[in-house]
Order: sequence, then structure tokens, then C-alpha cells
Amino acid sequence: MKKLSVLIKEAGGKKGILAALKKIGLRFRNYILDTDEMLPGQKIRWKRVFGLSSLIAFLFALPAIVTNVIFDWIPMFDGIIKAFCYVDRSGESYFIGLENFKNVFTDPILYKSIGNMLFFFVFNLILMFPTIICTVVMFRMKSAKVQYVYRVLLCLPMVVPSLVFTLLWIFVFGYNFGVMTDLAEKIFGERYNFLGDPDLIKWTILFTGIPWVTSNNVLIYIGGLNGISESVWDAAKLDGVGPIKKFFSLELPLIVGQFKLVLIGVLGASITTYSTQLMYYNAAVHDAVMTPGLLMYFKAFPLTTVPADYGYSYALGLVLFVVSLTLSLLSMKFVKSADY
Amino acid sequence: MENLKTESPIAQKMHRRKKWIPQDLGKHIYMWIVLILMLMPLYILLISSVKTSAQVLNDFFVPTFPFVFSNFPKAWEIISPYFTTTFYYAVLNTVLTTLVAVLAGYAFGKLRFPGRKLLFMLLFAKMFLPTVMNLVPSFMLASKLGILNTAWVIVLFCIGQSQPYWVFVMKTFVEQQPKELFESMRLDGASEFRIFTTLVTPLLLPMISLMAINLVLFSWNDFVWPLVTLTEDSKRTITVGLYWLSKSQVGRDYGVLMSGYLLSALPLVVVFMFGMKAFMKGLTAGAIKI
Repeated sequence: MKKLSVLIKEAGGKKGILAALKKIGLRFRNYILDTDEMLPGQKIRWKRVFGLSSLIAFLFALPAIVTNVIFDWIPMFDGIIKAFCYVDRSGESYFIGLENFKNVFTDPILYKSIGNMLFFFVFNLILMFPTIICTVVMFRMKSAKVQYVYRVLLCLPMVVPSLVFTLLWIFVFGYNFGVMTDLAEKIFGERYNFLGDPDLIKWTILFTGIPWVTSNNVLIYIGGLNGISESVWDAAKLDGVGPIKKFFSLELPLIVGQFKLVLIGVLGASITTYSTQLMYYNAAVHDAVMTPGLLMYFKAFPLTTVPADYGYSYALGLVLFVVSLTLSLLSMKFVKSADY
Repeated sequence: MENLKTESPIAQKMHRRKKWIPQDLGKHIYMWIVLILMLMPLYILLISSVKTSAQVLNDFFVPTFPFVFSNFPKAWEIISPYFTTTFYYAVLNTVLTTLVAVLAGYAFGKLRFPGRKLLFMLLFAKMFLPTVMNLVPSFMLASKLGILNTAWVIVLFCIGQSQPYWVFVMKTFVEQQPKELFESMRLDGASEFRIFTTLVTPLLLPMISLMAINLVLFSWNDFVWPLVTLTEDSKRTITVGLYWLSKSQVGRDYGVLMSGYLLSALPLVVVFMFGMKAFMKGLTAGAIKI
């Protein structure tokens, strides 16, 4: 580290520092007042800065700011503060330090839930690939019209609320009378309890994603592939590049930007979402479908008459927040540093 | 190779436009397998909605005749309260959230006022913060405000939490529009409000329709938040209503249940008929890039 006096000298003595500070101050003032870079000696047109048009513009932006602060920022800060508090049903709270975190980390179910989360995490990553393969196959079809028809057909399931599909799958697998249970008995000669068996439930949930093609992401990837000029494909054709080599050397690198975007979404969702697990939840598979997010949910909104433990829920929420924030910052850094 | 050399560029283009190309047969087979698997649940829903309970259990994979159309009025009777409340929430969500976001997007993109950049950063930063922790504190806040079991608990939180992303999208889009359009109207003495209604709104129409479709989809699909905040049966949304219906499945007429599931998709079918193009264009336009 250089000595302060040396630094001052390098900056051109005390005068230089003052000038630099003034420059920073002016920049900051312009940033706050929303004015352009000014020439020396030019004065601020205060009438413009605080005039009627500024007021109207501010009023235009106000509803968005106010609703966002009240319904998004305040709950976030409340979540951070109350994680260190005892919270009762009416929302009353007092500071108890790290007690809530101690409860969370000494709870054996937490570690089971982390294991379950990792299971879904790994498979969600692997199951990103069917979507890419489907996109590439569709994109390689020569006729634009045929491509369009397939695209519309792929989007068709979006007209049904996703919850309905989940409920349908629950019906199909049934607890002991489902269609699949009968089918499995005919084929394997054994009755499986797909939804009630702790060893099967996670696989059942994964299976219901069949064919693991996400329509939204197909459209995002297609957007990436369409942005490439025709000549690239013609050149590849002339060079006689085989279909598999073409995938790894052309198509995959071309959609790497979209891929990373989807990847960030999948990473975040794997750690934090729990609505699917909640729908498949039943007491028999408690340990097998519990994820940290679902645990946070159940501690605040228990299914049975067990009293809610809001402090636990707040603390676990904060832990999940920190973990997924760290992960998304890391993945964003990885996105920025890689060149494509 | 020989063909490529002799064909003129126009002929090549024509070749690309041909509907059926034999080399693509393998790809078509693959796509059909994917599509059959994807559309299977939809097919099951369609055929099961016109069956009796016994037919649903015994002939699950094939259609049975005659169709039991009387399932639909029965199902409608059960789900219509949920249907109308969700419709009401969805309209409020879509109109108010879009209006707030477009107003702010225009102000941040093309107008100036003290604190503009700072306030935009406030919204922008929220885009990168995970929302997982918000559930319980939001519930506590709603409980303190006394808005549990009202439309406001859905609408206000939807408006507030949608702003970071959509204001960013709108601002980016507004900034791409030529400055001169706004300047000339301003010189003509038009008020900001008039510029907003006669110039900004039509200019932003593609983005507005994209946003509206997304909000309708969101309102119709949202599950966990309405599940915990709307505990009165008469206030429930369609997803929550169907969830509780499915929980008490035993002894229910499955055909009716299936037609209820199918009816719940109706508004989204309408939205997609009108907005499919805008929706697909929005995603494929390559607007989503880092």
C-alpha cells in the first residue's frame, strides 16, 4: 500500500484532490438532479429541474415505485430482520438473536430436505437437454411453414393451467386405484404405490414432466438460432459437416447465451420453488418430498393443527435467500466472463 | 453438391419453402413422438370430460360413446364461483399492472425528473434479488393491512412485484423509439398526458399485449400465494379451488371432475387464440439475451 502523502502528491497536491472531489460532487449532483454533463460556468436551469414537467414525470413513475417499495422491498427487509426475532401469530416480534437459526440447523428434517432438493437440482439440470435437442431437430427442418406448425403445437399445452396437468397426473397415478397402478400390475405383475411410496415419489414427480420439453424455452432457443445468417448453415452444408458435429460446433455455441439464461432460471428454481412438491405432498411421503422451500412453507402454514413456527420459517427463508442470491451472482459472473 | 451449383438462388429459396422434404422423415417421427407425449394429458382431459365415472376408470385411454355432455353443466355449477373470481382478479391484475408499468417505463425512458436514475436503480436491483423469502413476510404484511381474503391481496402484490421486470422491459422499448416523435408533439403544445395516450400507448402496443398475456397466464396459474391468502371458499381462485376439490376426490364423479378441469382452461384458450402470435414473437424475437 502506498502512503497517503504519496497518493496526494500523485493526484497533484491538495488542490488536485479538491478538484477531483468537486468533480465527483458535480457528477453526483447531476446524477441526482438528472441533468446533462455541464460545461464549466454553465448554470443549472432550476426551472427545468423542478418544473411542472418534472413533477408530472415523477407522478408517472410514482405508482410503480410506491407499490414496489411497499409490496416487494418492505417484505424483504422484514424477512431479514424478523429472522432474528421471535414472531407470533399476530406479527408481534422481539429480538432473540440466532435462536431461530439454531432451531433450523439442528432439525434433522432439514438435512433430508437438502438431499431431496439436490436430487431435483441434478435432474432438472440433466432434463434441460431434451428441450435443446427438440429445438435443434425442429430448427433443422427445411420448411419454415412446417417449423411454425410444430411450434404452435408445442405451445398448445400452455392453454391448460399447469396445476390441472399435475392434478391429472395425480389422478392417473392414484393412491391405490389409479390407472397406472393397474397398468403396472398387468406389465410387472406387482402393484406399485407411485404416490405413497417414499422410494418412488421423487421418480414419479420427475416422470410427470415427460417428454421434458419446455415450450417457453424452445421459443427462446429458436430465437437464438434464428438470429444467425443463412450463409453459416450453407457453409456448413458445403463443408459436409455431420449432424452430430454440427450440433456441437454450430448450434450449441450459437445458443450458449440463451442456454445460460435458462440455466440461471433452473438453478434458482431448483433451490427455491416447492409448489410441485406441495401438490404431491401426503403424510406417507413426508420425508421424501420435503424440500427446504416446502419446509419453510409448512412451518408457517401447517397442514395439521400444529402451531405455526414463524421464526423458523423466517430464518430458513433468509438462508434460502442468501444461498440462491450467492448462486445467481456466481452464475452471472460466469455468464459475463465467458465470451461467446 | 451438383444440384446446389446448378440451381439459381431463387430456385434454392423455392426448395426451402417446399412443404414436404423426404430427408426430414426422421425428424418428423421424432417430433411426433415428442408431441404425442406432450399432448397426451390434453387428449386424456378431452376424452375424459365426456365420460361417466365408471368409463373414466375402465376405459381411460380410449374415447367412449355416446359422449356425456351433461358433465359440463354439472362441472360449471361447481367451478363457476372460482371461475368468476379468478376472472375478476385477472382483469384487475392485467389492467392495473400494465398501466403502472407503462407509465413508469415511459417516465424512466423518455422524461426527466430529479432522482430518476436513483429510483430506477431501486427497481432494477430488485430484479436480481430472489423472491423466495417474501412469502411469509408478505403474508404478515397483508394480514396487518387487513386485506386477506380480498381482491387487493392478489392485485396489490401482483402490481408491486411485477414492476422491476416490466418497467425495465418498457423502458428499454421506449428508449428505442425516435426522440423526434415525442419532441414534435411537445412542441405542438400537447400535454404529457395526451402524449402518453395518443403516442406512447400505440407505440408500445406490441409490448403491452405481450405483458398482458403474461399477466393473464400468471393470474390463472398462480397457486401458492392465493392458497395461503384466500382461505374463504367464496374468494378462492380457480387453481386453489380445483386443488381443494381434488383433495376430496373420493366418491366424486370423475367425469364431472375432468370436465371441470377442462373448463378451467377456457379463458386461456381465448387469450391464446388472440395473443399466440404476439406471445411467440416476443419470445423468439431474440429480445431475451444477455
